[in-house]
Amino acid sequence: MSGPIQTNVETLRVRAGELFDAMEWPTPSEEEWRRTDLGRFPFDDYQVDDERSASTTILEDWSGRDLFPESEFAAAARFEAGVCVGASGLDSLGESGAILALSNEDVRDLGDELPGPGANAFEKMLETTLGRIDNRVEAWHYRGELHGAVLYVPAGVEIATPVLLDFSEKGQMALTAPHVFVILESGASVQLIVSLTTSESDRLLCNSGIHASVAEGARLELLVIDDLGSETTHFAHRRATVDRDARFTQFEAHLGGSLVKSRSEAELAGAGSEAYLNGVFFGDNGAHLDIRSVQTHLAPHTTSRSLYKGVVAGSARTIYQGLIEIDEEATQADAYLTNNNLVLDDGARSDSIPSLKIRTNEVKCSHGSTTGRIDQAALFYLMSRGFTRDAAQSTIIEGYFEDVAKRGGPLAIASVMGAITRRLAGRAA
Amino acid sequence: MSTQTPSIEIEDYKHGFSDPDRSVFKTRKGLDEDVVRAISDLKGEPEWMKTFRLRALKTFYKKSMPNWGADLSNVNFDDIYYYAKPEGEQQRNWDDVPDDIKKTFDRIGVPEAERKFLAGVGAQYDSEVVYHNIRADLEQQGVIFCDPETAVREHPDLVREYFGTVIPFGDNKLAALNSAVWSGGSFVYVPKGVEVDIPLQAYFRINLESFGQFERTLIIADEGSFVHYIEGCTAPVYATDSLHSAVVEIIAKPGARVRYSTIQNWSGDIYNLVTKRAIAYEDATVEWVDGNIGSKRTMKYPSIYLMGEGAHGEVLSIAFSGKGQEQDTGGKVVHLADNTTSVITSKSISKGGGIASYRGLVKVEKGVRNVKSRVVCDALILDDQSQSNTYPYMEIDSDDVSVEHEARVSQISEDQLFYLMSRGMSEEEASAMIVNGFLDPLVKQLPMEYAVELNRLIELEMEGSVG
Amino acid sequence: MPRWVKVADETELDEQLAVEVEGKRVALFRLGDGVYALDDICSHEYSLLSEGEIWDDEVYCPKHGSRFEIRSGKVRSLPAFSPVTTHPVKVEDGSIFVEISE
Repeated sequence: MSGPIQTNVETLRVRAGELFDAMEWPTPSEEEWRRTDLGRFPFDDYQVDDERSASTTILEDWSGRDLFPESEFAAAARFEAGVCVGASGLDSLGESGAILALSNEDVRDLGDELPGPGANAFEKMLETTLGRIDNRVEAWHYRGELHGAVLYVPAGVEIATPVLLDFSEKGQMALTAPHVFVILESGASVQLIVSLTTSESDRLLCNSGIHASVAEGARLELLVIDDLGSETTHFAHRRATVDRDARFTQFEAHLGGSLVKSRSEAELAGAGSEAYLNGVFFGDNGAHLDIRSVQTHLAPHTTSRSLYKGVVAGSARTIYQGLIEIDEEATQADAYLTNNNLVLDDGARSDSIPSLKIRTNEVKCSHGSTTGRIDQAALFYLMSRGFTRDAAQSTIIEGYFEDVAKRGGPLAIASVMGAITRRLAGRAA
Repeated sequence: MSTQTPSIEIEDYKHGFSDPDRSVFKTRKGLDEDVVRAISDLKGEPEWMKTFRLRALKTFYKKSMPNWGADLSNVNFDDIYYYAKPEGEQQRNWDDVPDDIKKTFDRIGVPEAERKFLAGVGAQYDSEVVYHNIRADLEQQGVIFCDPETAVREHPDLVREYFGTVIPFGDNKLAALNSAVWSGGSFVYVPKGVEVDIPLQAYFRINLESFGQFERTLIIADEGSFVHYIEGCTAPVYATDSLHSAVVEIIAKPGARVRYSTIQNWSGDIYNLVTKRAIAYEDATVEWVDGNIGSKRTMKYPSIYLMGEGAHGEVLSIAFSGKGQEQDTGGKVVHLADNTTSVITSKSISKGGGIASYRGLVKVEKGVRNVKSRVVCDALILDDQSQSNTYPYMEIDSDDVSVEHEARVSQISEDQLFYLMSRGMSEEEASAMIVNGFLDPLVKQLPMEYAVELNRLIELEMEGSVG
Repeated sequence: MPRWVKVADETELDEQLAVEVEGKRVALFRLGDGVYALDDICSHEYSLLSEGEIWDDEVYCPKHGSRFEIRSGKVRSLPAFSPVTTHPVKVEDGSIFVEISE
C-alpha cells in the first residue's frame, strides 16, 4: 500500500483553479480557437447545480442492458445530473485487482488502494494533465466539481468484456464537468465505453474530460459517444499517453449539440507504440462543431492513424483540425490522417485543416482531406431501386459513417448508428 | 502640379538633392511622411499617386505584423533606406564577393557581363540593346511593358482603374509599406486577343530597381489575351537591403490567360515578404509558378480570386530551405463563381536545418456551383535537423463541390539511392538526381533556360548535404 | 412593416459612429450631403467598418483594407467581393433614425 498521492485530484483542482484565475478566455487570435469565437459566450450564466450531492454513491444495480440489450459488461455505472445512480460489477472487477472508483471519496482514497506502480501512474497522469492545461476552458474543467470515474487495471490483467460509463447530464443553465481517468498498467487491456447524453430541452454547458495512461504493452480501446440536445454546449478535453509497445484505439462520435469544441490527443511517448483515432461528427440546423485530433510522436518506431468523417447540413458549421506532430527523436514514425466531409446543403459550412509538423526525415507521413457532396451516382442508383431521395441519402450517409464506426468494433456500431439513423430520420420528417 | 521628368536613375537622385527648387533632403534611414513625399516628388508623380502613398503610410502605422508564419522578429523598419542609397552603398569589390556565389555563377552559367551586376559590384547592367528589339515588337502589338513610374505618367487612366484594387494598401502591413514607398517593378497591359509569344522578363530592364526592395507590378491582360511574365532569376542576387516587400496584382479579363513565374534566389539575410494576388474573370486562367530558393525568410502565398464562371487558377510552388532559412510559402484560391477549378501543387525540400512550411487556402463561397479543386503537397526532408510543416485550410460553404487535398512528407528513398549509386554515382550525385526528379513536374513548367539553371542550382545546393 | 428606430443624437456623430439597432451592428457616416448607414460588419471577415478610414466618400475596412462606397455599400476592392447592406437614414429634430424592416 502506498500513502496518499502527493498530486491527487484535489491538488489538480486547486492548481487548475489558480491557472483559471490567471488566464483569459481564448480568443480567435489563437490558431486553435480561430474559428470558434467565444467572445460573446455567456460563461457566467451557467452555474453548478448546488442541490446535487456529489458524494452519494451507488444506489442500485445497473447493468447497462437498457442501453445495450445484447451486451455483457464487466462493470457499468450510470450518472444522472452528476450523481451516480446505479452501478454493477464493481466487486467482480475487484477480484482481478481492477478498480472502478465512482465517488469523490473513493477517488480520494485511491492513493491508499492502488498498488505502487498504479499510484505512481495516477500521480504522473495528474501531473501531466496539470502541465498541459493550455487554455482557460480546460482549466475550468479541472477546477470544477468533477464527477465521474477512475478506472484502474493492474499489470497483466485483461478485462474480457467492456466497462460502460453512462453520463446523462441534466439541468437548465447548468454547468457540469464529467470526467474519466483511465490507468492501465503494463500488459493490461480493457475496452471502455463512455456515453454522454443530454436532452433536447436542457440548456446546459458540459465541460468534459477523459485522460488515459496506457503503460508498456497495454491496450486500451475507448469508445466515446456524445449524443447531445440542440441546446447543449460541450467542451471536451481528451488525452491518451501511450507507452512502449502499447496500443490505444479511440472512436468518438459527436452528434448534435449547439456548440461543440473538442480536442483528442494521442501522445506516442514510448518506442513502438500505436494510436488509432477514429471519429464521426454530424452538424445540423445551426450547430457549430469544432473537432480537433492530435497525433504526437515522441519516440522511435511509432504508428498513428486518424480517420474523421463529418456531415454538415442545414446552416450548421463543422470544423475539423487535425495535427500530426513528429519530433526529432521520433524516427521511423508512420503516421496518416484522413478527413472526409459531406456537405448536404448549400450554406452549410465545412472547414478542414489537417496539419503536419515534422522534425525528422526518417518518416512516412501523409494526410488527405476531401470535401464534397453525396455521390450523385450512388444516390440515383438507390432511387432507381425504389428509395425516396431522403431514404437514399440517409442510407448513403449511414454507410459513410459506418465505415468509421466499424473501426470501433460492434459496440461502436451498435451505439452510434442508432443515434445517427434517428437524426437522419428527424431531418426527413 | 508636378513636372514631367524622365525615369529616375541613381545619379538623378543626387541631383535632386542639390536642386534648390526641391527641399534639400539628405538620404537617411527610416520612414515618415517626408520620405514618402520625397519619393513621390523625385518620381514626378501626379497628386493622386502621392495621396495614395500617404494614405498607405497612415495605414502602415496602424497595422501590426503577422503573428503567424516565419520568424520576423528581426525586421527593423527604422533601419532601412526607403529610396535612395548613399553613394557607394551598393558597390563592392569583385574580390569581396563570397566564393560560393562565384561558384554558383560558374555552375549555372551566368554570362560574364551579368555577374558583376548581380553580385553588387556594378550599379548598372546595360541590357538596353537586348531590350530594344523586343520592345519594338511589343509596341507593334500594342503591348505596354514598362516600369510602373512610366505607366503612372503615360497611362494614368489604366493605372488608376486597377492599381490597388486587387491588393488594397490595407491588406496587410507589408502591402501598406509597399504601397507607400514602391519603386520599380513592371506594368504590363496586353490588348484584346493579343498573345505575347515571348516571356516578358523584368530581367531585360535590369537596373537596381528591377531587383528593388519595394517592387510594384501590375499586369492587365485584356479579353482573350495571353502573356507569360517572369520575375527574378536563379542566380544568387546580392542586396544590401534586408527587407524585400513586393506587391504583384494581376487582372485576367474574360478568356485571358496569364502565367507569372518567379524564381527567387536572394542571397544574404533577406526578408522576402510578398503579396501576390490575381483576379480571373469568365473563362480566364491565371497560373502562378513560384520558386523560392534563397532569402533568409520568405512569406509568400500567391492567390487567385476566381470571379467569373469557368475560370481556372493554378499555383505551382517550389521551396528549397537550407541552413538558417525559413520558406513559408503556398497559395490561395477563392472560388466565387460557378464551374471554376483550381489546382495547387507544392513541392518543398528542407535540408541542413532549414524549415519549409506550406500554407494554403481553398475557399468556396456559398451558392457557388460545380467547383473542383485539388491540392497536392509533397515535402522532402533530407536530414534530421530540418523541418517540414504543412498548414492547409479548406473552407467550403457550398454543397456542390469536390475538394481534395493530399500531403506527403518523406525522405529520399533508400532504394532509389542504392540503385543510382550502384550505377556509379556518388551519394551526393544520386541525391541531387533524386531531388531534381522530385521537382521535375514543376520545373518542367519553366522556360528551358530557367529549368536548366534550376537543376544545376539544385545540384550545387546538394553538394555537401550528405554526411 | 418598416419602421424608424432612433439610434443616436445628431451631436454624437462626427464622421462615423457605431450603433446597435435591435442587436444588429450598424455604422453611421456623415458625408458632405448627409448621413448614411451601412452594416457595420465587413462582408469579407469580421471587422468593424465604423473603425475604418474614410477617404473620398469610401470607407476602408480596418482589417484588410477593402473599400466600400458609403452611399451604396458597393465594394470597390478585394479581398471583399460582396457589398455591404445599406440602411435608410433620416435625421429629424436632432435625432438620427435608421429604418428597420421586420
